[in-house]
Amino acid sequence: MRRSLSLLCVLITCGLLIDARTLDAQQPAPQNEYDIKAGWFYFLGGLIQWPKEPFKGADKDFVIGVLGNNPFGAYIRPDGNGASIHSTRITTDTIQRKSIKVIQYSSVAEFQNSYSPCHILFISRSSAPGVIGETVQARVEAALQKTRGQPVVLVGEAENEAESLAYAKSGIIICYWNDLQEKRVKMVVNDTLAKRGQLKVLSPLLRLRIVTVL
Amino acid sequence: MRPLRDLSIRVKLTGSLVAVVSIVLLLSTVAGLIEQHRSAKTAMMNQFSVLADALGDASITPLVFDDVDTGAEVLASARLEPNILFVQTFDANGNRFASYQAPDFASQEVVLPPGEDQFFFEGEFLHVSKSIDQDGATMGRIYLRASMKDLYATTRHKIFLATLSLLICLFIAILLGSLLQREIARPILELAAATKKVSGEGDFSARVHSNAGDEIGVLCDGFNTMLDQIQQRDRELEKHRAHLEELVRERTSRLEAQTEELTESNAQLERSNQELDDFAYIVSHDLKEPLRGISRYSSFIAEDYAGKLDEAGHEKLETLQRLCLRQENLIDSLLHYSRVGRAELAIAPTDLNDVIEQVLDMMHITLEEQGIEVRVPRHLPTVACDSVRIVEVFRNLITNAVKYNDKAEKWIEIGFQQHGESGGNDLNPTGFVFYVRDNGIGIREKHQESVFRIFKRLHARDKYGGGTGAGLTFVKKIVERHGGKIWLESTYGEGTTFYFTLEKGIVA
Repeated sequence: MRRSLSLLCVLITCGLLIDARTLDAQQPAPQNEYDIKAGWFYFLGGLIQWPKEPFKGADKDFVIGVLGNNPFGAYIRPDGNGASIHSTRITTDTIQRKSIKVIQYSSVAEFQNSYSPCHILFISRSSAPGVIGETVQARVEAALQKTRGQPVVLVGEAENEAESLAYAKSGIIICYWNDLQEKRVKMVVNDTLAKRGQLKVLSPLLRLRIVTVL
Repeated sequence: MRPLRDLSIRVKLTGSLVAVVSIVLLLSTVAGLIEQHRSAKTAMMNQFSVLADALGDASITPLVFDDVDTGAEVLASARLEPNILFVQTFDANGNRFASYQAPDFASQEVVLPPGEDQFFFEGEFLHVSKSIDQDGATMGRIYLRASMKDLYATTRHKIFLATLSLLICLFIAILLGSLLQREIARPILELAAATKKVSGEGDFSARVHSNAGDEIGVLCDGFNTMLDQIQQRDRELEKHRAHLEELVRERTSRLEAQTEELTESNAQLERSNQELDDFAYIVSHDLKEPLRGISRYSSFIAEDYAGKLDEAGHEKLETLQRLCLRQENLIDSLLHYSRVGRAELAIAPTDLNDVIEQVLDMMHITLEEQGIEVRVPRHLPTVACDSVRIVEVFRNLITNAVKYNDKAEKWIEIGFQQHGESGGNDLNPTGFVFYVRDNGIGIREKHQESVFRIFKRLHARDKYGGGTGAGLTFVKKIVERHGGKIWLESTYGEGTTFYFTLEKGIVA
């Protein structure tokens, strides 16, 4: 699994690099996958509507939970009491005009013990350093179990479309996947599930070609 | 400008109305069209600005999720507006993202450089460039190019409609103008026609009819009143003229009657004068005959009976003879006087210098005896007169001047005055006034009228040389027969001046 993931990264990078030669000289260097995904947190904040008070303190902070390895590195940095996004697309310290708060759950056990409600729970594809033998599936299941009935947008990442679809069907509301042919990140959105969880995904997002709506 | 000034007021009124309406209409139409075109452009700009905003907003999600296809799809909705020819979105870095191109439009040229929001019209296109923002962050930029063909077509259509309405309005203006001018111009034209009638034909019965209460109405009323007054004055004048004519006729007839009377009296007077002259002649002639007998017989007695008569007888006989002589002299004078009145004058140009010379020749012995200085200050003129009679006039006057002078140094001045030279007695404004002046004894004022009476003597019979007292009567008669006048000025003791004029004609 990790090998294939690394391979994908290399491929995307190489592909983008090769393509870059034919592109306009003004075009910037191809973006890192997590650069893109970090920025998308901000835009998802604008394209999804949560219930009025999904949890206590939701009106002050926009809480992003990260289960597993935190792959965002410098793209989401701690900033004072909260955090700020430094993606190529956007640099901001607010989402929905609220301070960004990132909670890291390194392992499933930690998650299960100390989970506090959040707007978006990102389920990482990789395990945090030092956590051995924890699968993506285990994280997904833990997340599904812990957040059942709560208005939390579960964001996962899969290796391909089929896996992404499978995750989405299993309960992940937004699942990213990398289209190697088009060399871009795409996503599957389970709108049915979102509606069930009192979440409203806005049409501009659902209308995108890179989005597969379930 | 002259031909314009000579145009009828009717043409001028219609013309000015149409000109004003045309100018106003043209200006308002042009202004309206410009304003409409301008607002249409503004509206178009606003419309496409909003469209660009809408397309940009819809492009945010495709932009941020880097979804070019959806971006193109979003822009493709611009096909609903056929005027949109080309739309291009750019990402935050200024790279072309998605575009839309109208089916029959080939260019992908982006005219506006990236930067602030811009709009401008160029040629047949409207260019709009707007940034795509979300929450204050720029997500990209949208450029839109729209065709202005519709706008121009609409404007052309509006110009066509405006021209059409302009022509219709102009037609209505001409129609209304000609109707209105008729109302205004009719009384003026009538007034002009009436004026022409009055001034040209002298027909003062002409009148202008106007019911209007405006200035033209006032003018027409004034004109009518003026003509009324003129007619009234004419009638009065006519009346006065008739009266005057009657008056003149009456006066003339009266004058004629008077003239006739006068003529008759004159004729009678002339007849009487003639009869008197004739009578005087006959009487004097007949009287002379027995007087001559008395005188002859007294001579016979004096000669034949000289020895038989005593001293007293001789004295009485002498007295008888003296009286006879005197009687004869008187009768001669009378005869002469009546001859002067009866004889025809032989009028001929006469040099008065010759006349004076002749008189002085006749009298030179007397003049020398008396030691009289005769002065003729200037050369006398030649006049038309009977020279024999005029010699008699001057002889009588000079004789009187010589006779009635008691001064040691005696002088006589003979001369004349022309018009303007004499005093108040200048009765002949074109001719001469002759005078004979002396420094003699003068005549008292009370006697100045009677000196011309026949046989009138102011002094004793033998004083100042005697005489019949008929000389000045002859002078007056001769002067009057020449159509002239005689008068005198005298200061008693200092001298006398006799003036006379001759009206028979001045030769030189």
